[in-house]
Amino acid sequence: MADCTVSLSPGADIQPHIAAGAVICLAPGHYPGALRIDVPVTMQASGGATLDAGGKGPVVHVTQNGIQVRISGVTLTGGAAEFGAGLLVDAYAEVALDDVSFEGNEPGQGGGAAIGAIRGRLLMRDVRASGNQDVVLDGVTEAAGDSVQLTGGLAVRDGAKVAFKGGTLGTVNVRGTTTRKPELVLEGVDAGQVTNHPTVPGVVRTQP
Amino acid sequence: MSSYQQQRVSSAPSRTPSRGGNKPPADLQSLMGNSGARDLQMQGGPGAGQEEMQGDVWGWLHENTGWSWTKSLSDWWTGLWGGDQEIDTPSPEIDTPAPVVDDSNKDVEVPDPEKKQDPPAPEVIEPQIDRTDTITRGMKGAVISGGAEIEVRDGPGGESGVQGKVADGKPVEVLEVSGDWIKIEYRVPGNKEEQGWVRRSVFSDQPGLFKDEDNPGMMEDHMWQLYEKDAVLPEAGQLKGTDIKQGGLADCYFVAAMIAVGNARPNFLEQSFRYNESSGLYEVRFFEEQGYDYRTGQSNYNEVWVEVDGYLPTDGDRTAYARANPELWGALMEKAYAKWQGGFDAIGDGGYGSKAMAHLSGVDSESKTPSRMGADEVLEFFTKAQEDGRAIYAGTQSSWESDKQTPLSGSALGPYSGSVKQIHDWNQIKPGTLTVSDTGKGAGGRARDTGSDNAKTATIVGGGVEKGEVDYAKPGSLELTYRDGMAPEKAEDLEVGFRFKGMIAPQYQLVGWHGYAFKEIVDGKLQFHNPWGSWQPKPITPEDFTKYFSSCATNLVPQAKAAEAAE
Repeated sequence: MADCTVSLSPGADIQPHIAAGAVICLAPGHYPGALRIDVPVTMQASGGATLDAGGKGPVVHVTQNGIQVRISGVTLTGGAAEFGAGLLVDAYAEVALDDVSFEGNEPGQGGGAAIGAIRGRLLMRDVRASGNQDVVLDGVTEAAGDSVQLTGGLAVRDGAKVAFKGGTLGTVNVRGTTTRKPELVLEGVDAGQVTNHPTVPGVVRTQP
Repeated sequence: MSSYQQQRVSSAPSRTPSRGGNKPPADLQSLMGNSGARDLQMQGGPGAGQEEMQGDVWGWLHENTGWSWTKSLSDWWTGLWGGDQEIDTPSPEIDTPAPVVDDSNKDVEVPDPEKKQDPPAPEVIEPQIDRTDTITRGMKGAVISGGAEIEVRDGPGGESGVQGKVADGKPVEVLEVSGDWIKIEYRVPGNKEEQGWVRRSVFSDQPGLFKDEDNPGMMEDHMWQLYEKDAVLPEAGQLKGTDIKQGGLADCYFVAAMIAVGNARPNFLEQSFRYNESSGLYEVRFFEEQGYDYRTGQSNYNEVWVEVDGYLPTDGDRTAYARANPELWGALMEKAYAKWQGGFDAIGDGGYGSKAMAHLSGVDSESKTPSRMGADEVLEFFTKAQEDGRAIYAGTQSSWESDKQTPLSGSALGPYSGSVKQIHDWNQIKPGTLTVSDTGKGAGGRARDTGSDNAKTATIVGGGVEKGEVDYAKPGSLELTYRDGMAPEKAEDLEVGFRFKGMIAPQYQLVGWHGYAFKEIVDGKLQFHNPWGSWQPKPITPEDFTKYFSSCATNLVPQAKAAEAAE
């Protein structure tokens, strides 16, 4: 874990502390979510910290191009957004998730209860999303996962490029467009049914 | 756009650089070329032997990393990147990658933007193009005959027996291809599917229709019908965003995006349609994001022209999906979008309005989180966006908190029963959000329902409840009994709360989980447009906007090209 520049107690509003280069350390407990991140920042907890958007948008929304965001040791919950209720990435940012859980987030029609991304680069390690907490990797997103537990479903769409190594996936849906194919590489992943769209399929490679 | 400060660090080449390049590369991807490299090392100055500074970033100088070149020295480039770093890296040959086009699919043409399109032929030759040589198994479409019923045979060939007939415009899927004949599957009344053979010449390739799992018979009523050019193309200079309205497809995000873009720059959207007189086909323009250009701070988009004919899915005497209000160009654009994205199924189960606007404009949308905005900020934001001519899209919250109610009657351990009051006929309890709290002196606490997603009923557990059940169907009835020693003192102590879906703000006529196009500011309030074309919301205060809306995006749609250039 990086050295903390800010240490917060449960109930604190994290948003005012999101500053360029900040390392925000969260004590176990409940924190209001619906955070917009437009600067490079790290949020970390050793466990037991929950960010709750209270139904007021994505729990975490990464909005700025060219930044790096690291989130570790937290649970993201209570998000409600048209797309990407837990985590929404629609910027060319690099977002690293380590030991992060998604629970009780509600997507709108766009899907992505846990994660919705149309751009940027997602690096996931020990990320957990179950139940109806689906992950939608869309647009020109690049994503890599190591030992993820995404049993809530995964959708890889448009021109997304995704690779997972180890871990467990629920149902997987892959769909491109008539002009390009998304790519999904699964290596040593225990995946559920993988459905590749019959009309606009993607490229799916699986290795034991 | 990102702000990039300068700070010198170093980059050691991860591959042998090519010589002679003295123009800044477009991005790191072009720098890396076909080497297979995905990341670049950095160093503090040009040449070998400098200190490496790759440090603690995770391959941050990845091919998509933010990059802005500042100067070159010998074989090295100095640049700015998104992490407040200035780096040196080897200068290669310039090789901006060509737009990626999947050659295996000929349905969509990506024209060279530098190349002028051929002018349309002066006379109409044929209303339809014979594309029957491209029919393949699994293809969705319709059988077209110009009005007559089409015979379906039990085998490939005219000598096979006639097993039935299907109407002109019937949606079908191709199961097999055998010479001049194709085996099709189509729906018949009773939620059944039948199969048979027809001549391949009657098949017309169309986007697959939407299958509603809750209403599978719906597709039986949908037929493909040809609409004339005058009905589907906007009259020159007359396009309005509100010409269209959403139909029986859950694509409010896309219809609202069309309306928003059409409101902001009608002439730009009008130029998204081309008609080929010789083929009788239309081309509809979208934009596909390719990546990020860190020099301009904008994403790169390619134009994609999707070719479609004038057949539209209908439901009785009107189009089934996007509808005329009074113009039908929105239905044609929706069909083209469906074709591009893989069918009406692909676009008809929700989407992301921000991305849809970018698909229509070729410019990134900028988003806001309403709950993080102050009322003054909201008004300022919308005023500025309107002045700038931006398209504005906003999505509402999924559900809303009910008032606390005490609808239950009963005594002792129960049963306690009653129905909660809904504030609008449309509203439904959102499963998993109902609570029953004993607010009196009873020992019971807070019980909750166990429903999820589309449950019809659910049990109520916790809070001293022995047995409890809720029926979510309107108006939402409850019945529960308590364990010994846990009964409430009186029924009025049992307070029921829940979140509800549907009309989340009746005072504004605002529907939950819905996409709206922003229209104008009226007396300091925000007027949105419902893509349904009805149930238009009343102007909403900026403060309530931050409560009832969960997403908002604007898009600076480009100005239309001058008429001569457009031609």
